[in-house]
Amino acid sequence: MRSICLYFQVHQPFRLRKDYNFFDVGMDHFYEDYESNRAIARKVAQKCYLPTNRLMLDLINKYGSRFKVSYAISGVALEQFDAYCPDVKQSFLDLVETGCVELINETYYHSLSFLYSREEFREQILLHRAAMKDIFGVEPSIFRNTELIYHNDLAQEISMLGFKAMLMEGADRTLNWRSPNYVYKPKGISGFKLLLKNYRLSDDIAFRFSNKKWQGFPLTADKFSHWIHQDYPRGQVINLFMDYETFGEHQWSETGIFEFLKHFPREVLEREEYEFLTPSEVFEKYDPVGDIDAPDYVSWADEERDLTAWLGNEMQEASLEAVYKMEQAIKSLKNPTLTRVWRKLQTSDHFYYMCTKWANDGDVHKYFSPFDSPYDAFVVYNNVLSDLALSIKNETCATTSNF
Amino acid sequence: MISGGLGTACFGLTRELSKRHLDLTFVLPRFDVQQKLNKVRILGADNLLMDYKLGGGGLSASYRERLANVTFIQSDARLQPYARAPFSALPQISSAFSPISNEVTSLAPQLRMAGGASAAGGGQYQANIYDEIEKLRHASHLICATESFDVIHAHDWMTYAAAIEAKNITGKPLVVHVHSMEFDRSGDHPNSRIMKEELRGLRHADRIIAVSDYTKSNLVRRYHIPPENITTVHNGIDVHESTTFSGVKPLGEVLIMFMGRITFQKGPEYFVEAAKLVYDRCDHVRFVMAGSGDALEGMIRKVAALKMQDRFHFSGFLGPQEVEKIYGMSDLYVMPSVSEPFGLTAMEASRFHVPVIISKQSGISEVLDHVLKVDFWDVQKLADCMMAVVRHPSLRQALVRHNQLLKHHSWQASAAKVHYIYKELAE
Repeated sequence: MRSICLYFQVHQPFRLRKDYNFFDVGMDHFYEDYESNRAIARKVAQKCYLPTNRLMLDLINKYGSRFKVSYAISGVALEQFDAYCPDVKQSFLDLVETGCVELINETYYHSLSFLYSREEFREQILLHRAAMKDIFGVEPSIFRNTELIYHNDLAQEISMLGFKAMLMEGADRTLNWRSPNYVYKPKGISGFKLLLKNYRLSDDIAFRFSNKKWQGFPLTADKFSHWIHQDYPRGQVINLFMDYETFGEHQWSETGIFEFLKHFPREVLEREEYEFLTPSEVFEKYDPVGDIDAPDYVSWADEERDLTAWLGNEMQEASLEAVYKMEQAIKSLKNPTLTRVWRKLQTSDHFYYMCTKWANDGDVHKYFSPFDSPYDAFVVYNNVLSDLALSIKNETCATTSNF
Repeated sequence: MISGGLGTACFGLTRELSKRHLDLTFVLPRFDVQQKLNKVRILGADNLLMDYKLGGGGLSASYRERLANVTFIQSDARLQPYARAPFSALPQISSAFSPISNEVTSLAPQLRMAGGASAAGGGQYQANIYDEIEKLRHASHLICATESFDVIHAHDWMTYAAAIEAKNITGKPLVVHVHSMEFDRSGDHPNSRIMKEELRGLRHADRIIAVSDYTKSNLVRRYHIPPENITTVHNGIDVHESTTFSGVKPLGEVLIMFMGRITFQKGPEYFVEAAKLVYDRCDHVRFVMAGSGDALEGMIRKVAALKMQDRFHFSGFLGPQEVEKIYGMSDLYVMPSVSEPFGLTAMEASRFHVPVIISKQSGISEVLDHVLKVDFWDVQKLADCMMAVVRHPSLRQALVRHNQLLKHHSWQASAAKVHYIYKELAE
């Protein structure tokens, strides 16, 4: 029997105040837009997290251990659930308790730290790991990097940290036009496996589901299950990876997305050709069929499936470089509050808002950005960073003068 | 709503002229904000035209009523009789104060550039600017039919068509006041339609006023206007307002500012490049670029590319209170304009006791002596000047102290010169 693996990314950034301006630098150390973060967390909870989790729980109860899902929930999302919608956290706890849900490790701050600091990267993985243990009582054995970003060196690093496997984007250029529906391994590394996203089928749900101009519209569970059976007669596993907010938030309830999700397991299980497995079970079950060589970065973002959504122009480059340049100064202060503030500024969304690719995908960036333009995003972010730099400077002076 | 140099200049000049026993009628293309000004009647051309249409083409009662309303805007109670009087009575009243009849109709465009008050691009006119000009020209007919005046005074190219129309109808002398030229705004890529319009206005003018000798020489060079037709009248400054303001410097660093429309003409790129040279040498210097405009995004990218955004900030367009605040915080004002007919903001900076570096390609350099002057393109020199001011607080103090001589450049003085021109022409 072949397998289907469902993985969902659950993430909410701490968005910055749109009005944090030049005059605030050195004066005002409150950077986040509490009101809007709270409003968004509660809105998405009502529209997506709560109803979807309820449905997932129903499905698990209905199909027993035959229906399984996996999540990577960022640390910053969990903090916001704690603060603004504790019922969401509880509903994830309930799901994990069923034993049919696997939690995946990531960087606590959903950051791009791997690109800039290995030390910071490892620390954030450990922070997330600790949160998974504290909150859910589990120790994840699988890693997923922010936005499915992948590189040969990353596989090396992750395998050295003791993980057994990681998830990545099934980009055509990386697969070299092979099928994503098999387990692979990184080139030159043994004992470590890779699961690759089937982006065609995943994006049918995540992006095209409600697109009336799409020839697959309207997408029903029956039709989708038919495609899986018909179009993929061979292979080991079909990996459907997407934002969890697809359900009810990116695709509104009115589009029928919940009906789709409700019926999808039955459509699959009835035909008895596919089973639902968690990523760990997939890795247990299958041996890798080939090597993945990724000397260049791949991700799941935009058409390009590279880093350009976060690192595609001079503003993003300068901002990322600036925030990581502060690492030593911040860490030598050993001030947990400042360190936390600094880390929240590493969340990848801040750089996503500065993206200037305006064709097709630009619309997606615009949809998610609280800012009117990428330039505004850059200006606010760097005002905030300047203020933090001044705080560090003051703190450093205070510390040294004590001696 | 006054934004930019032209608005400020018209306001200062008109206010002082009105104190000189002149009766002024100030015509704006649109007039939706009540601006209180002694003895000056402000007409909105849009209102005139609307009433004209409502009245079926004649001078309807509603038109007269509206004019009465417009004049009613004046807050000065002593002026009530003027306002309520039939229009024909106005010249007599004014001549009671003055040996000659001194009715002047001033035409000024409300500066409604996209970058003026909004966050959007600057330096670009609204798409319908030519429609606005045409409307103003139509309104000119109505004004000529109802108002009596001795001199027509037009401010910049947008008003020239209407002013020429008024001159043709009434035969009254025309003063064309050049606050800025297309060449200043657009450099080597001028809009030929605007240049044609400028030239037409200049040719119909009985007298041309240039805001600086710099502009005068440009008029001679670019449009071949005989220099004897041009009189330089420098803009003024409101010195009485310069007394108190709070200079709060929260960062304990040296702050260097640029303020203005962020567009080619103002030379923001030279500021950024010079800032980079200073940035690399001093770590206690911070920069701020205030304003918005069509080059803002390019400047943001440039600062990002130079990786100095930790100490180079963009404040966006600032309201009056924020302008005051930022002057209070600043240690140096830099105006590296590529071509600046006058440069009122540099004067404003001086009023706030902020030392100033200006480009030699500016009218203000003729008026301000105790400032540092550089060629706009000489980035190295500009950076050197910045460094000198940063390193030598005594230089800063000296520059500020000597610029207290601004009193010589009051709007009264400018108005006196303009009044003299009116008299000459009206004789």
